[in-house]
Amino acid sequence: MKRLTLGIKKSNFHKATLITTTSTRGDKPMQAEITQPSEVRKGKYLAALLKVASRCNLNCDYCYVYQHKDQSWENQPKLMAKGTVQKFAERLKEYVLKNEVTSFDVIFHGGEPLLYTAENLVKTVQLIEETVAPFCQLNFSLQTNGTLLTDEVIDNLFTANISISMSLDGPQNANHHRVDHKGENSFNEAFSGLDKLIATDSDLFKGVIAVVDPKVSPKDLFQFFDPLNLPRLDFLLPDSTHLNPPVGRNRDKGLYTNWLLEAFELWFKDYPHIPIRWFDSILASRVGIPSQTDVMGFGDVSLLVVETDGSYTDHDVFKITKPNGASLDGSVFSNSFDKLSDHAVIKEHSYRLSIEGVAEECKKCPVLDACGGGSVPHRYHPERGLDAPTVYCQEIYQVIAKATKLLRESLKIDVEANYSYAVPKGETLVLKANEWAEETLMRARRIADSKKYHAEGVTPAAVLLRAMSTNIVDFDFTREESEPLNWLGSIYLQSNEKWLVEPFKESISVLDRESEPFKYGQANLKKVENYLNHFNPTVLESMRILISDLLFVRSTIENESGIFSFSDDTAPNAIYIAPTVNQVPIPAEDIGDSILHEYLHQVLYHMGREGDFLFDHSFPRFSAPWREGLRSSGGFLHGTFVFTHLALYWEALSDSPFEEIDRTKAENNAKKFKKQAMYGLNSLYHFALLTERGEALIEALAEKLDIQDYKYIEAPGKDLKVEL
Amino acid sequence: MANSLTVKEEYILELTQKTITSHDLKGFNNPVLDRLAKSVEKRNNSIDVTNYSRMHNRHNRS
Repeated sequence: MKRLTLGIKKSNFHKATLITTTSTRGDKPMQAEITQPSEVRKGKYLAALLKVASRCNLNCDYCYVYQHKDQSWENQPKLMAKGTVQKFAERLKEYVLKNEVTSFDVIFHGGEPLLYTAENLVKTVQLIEETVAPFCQLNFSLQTNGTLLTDEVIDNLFTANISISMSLDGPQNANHHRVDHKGENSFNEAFSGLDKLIATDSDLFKGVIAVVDPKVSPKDLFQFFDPLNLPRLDFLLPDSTHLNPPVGRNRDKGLYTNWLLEAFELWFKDYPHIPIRWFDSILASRVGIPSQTDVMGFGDVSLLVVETDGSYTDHDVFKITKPNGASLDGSVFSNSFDKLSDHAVIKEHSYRLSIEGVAEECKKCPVLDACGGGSVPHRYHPERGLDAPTVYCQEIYQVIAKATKLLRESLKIDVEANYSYAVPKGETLVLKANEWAEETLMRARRIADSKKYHAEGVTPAAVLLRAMSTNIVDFDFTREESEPLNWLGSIYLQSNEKWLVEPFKESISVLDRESEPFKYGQANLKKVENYLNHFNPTVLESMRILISDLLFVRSTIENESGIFSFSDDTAPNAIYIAPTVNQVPIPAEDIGDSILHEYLHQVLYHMGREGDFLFDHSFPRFSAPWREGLRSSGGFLHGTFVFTHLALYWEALSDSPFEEIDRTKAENNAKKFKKQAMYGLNSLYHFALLTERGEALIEALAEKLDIQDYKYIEAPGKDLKVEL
Repeated sequence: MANSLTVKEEYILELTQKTITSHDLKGFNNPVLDRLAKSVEKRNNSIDVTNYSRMHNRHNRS
């Protein structure tokens, strides 16, 4: 019994602006060098794990307390003293009052907590309740190996409202790691306890956790657990680090991956009625629900651990990393929980549970939002400390892909695929551009009529943006130009229609027609026309048909230092382009890139209105090497669509008759965008909730780029090496 | 429906891009998806998700 109970949940991701972290290695706890205000990522305790017994009547070979690097249990008293419990209760009272905590979980753990006896556990509950219950709701639970469970013990614990979770790896042959000190399989004794728990039919029995042994088939496990009708089951991967990789994986790289993929699919299709916390969490991650397990996801340090002698440790799974791997300074006798929460080690732990604190490989991984870098102790690497992906990177990556695929296949059953093209091109593109322009005009006219706007001759985007705005007294449109400017004969250039800009004025400012930047942009439009015509005459023609307005702008956002362009689906067919960066003109081919970029967004908006590419546009969210933070599925799809075409644009320019084009730059840009598109296609294929239409789009984009292998699956931290 | 909505609300609905709801996940006769539907419902209720996720594209491509 060496696990957290099933009842612990991780908190939602708490965004922080943090720290650079360094760590010392060896036998001392890692120290975090905090460079930002200390309260940024303190622990936020919602649960405490009390190690009421430091010894265990079993001797499981994978146990993180006894079988790994840390052997500090030898220095612990066998049982927790009453005085320690009393001091814990006082610390807890102090903490919940100061931090206005309204609900707190206390988990009895060990060793084997039933060595403490049920009677003492009940007394412990009474003592803690007397001190704390007037101020905070307390929830007590016990994590046991089950071998000491009798009807009387269960009755005593349930009467005291202590819920019970059990550890059992499966049937007899799956339970061979869980042996007593004579090396005998503990299955019979444990199963007897489980049987008694099940017989109570009590809500206080919370379920079973099982450590995976990939040599035991998932089918055997499900066939064993299924008839038991457990309230909940959870699978845990054996605790490992990069220093001590998962057993057997050096001989068979796919050992754990294949087991997980088989188990997940079998569960989803044949045993879906069994709630498996980790698997349910993986599936839920596909629709943006934060992880409920320590194996994946962002969060806060919400659990504190009190050893049998009252000393504090970090999560005790850190004991797998090195001697004293979980140790902290102080105990319930010397430090408050608040002081503990401010400990450098806790802060580093907390930091590692944030998006800023994951390894560089993780920041560029499409499943970062779901995985969060994985279990923090499992990241431990002898050279990199905790600044590494989980040792189970490949396993988690692949099982998330499997979950995505299964969910997608289920959702597709109810949706009829109805589309006549994957990506419009040639005559279809021109035809579509006409349809989309007409449809936008009709939408604007309907709204103008209903609002009695005098909108004759006004660009549709202005009408639609005006209709979206509230608290505006002035209803008039302002464009009264005797000689409006245009590009390609039909695209309004630099309209003075204020409604094209009003909703975006915090981001952009329209350039004055007399300004040098505007004149520069306008003067280069002929070159842009030539470039786009060389790239694809049909694209240029459809652009002429679809785009109603081109406005040269500058960004009004501070620290905007790159090439800037803008468009929005609330302003259909209007594009906003910056011809300069910090007053410095950008080359015509980059203006062309910006115009094409925003035109492509508009095209995809219109395509999306004709049928969904995604079952969910928000989730899952994707991280990408080209942009910080996480993007919605919809935004990520847009980026991939745009990059695919920009790669072709720059490729065309790299092989063009235009002498002014820098060939090296064009080639580099083509490579860069192709690489980005490749990442997008690969990520979307495996991890987005694509509809059938979405899948067809991905395939068509890959075909455009002549990419054959976009379906490969490889986690970024797969081949992390350890030099020993 | 349209009669009870403002122009702005109608337009927002037009722009609405799909976010999965519990309704989308029900009816598959799969308890896994039923549990997921409950989680989605709970999440959507708790954070007041309005099934509205228009994209606002702004690009800084340095």
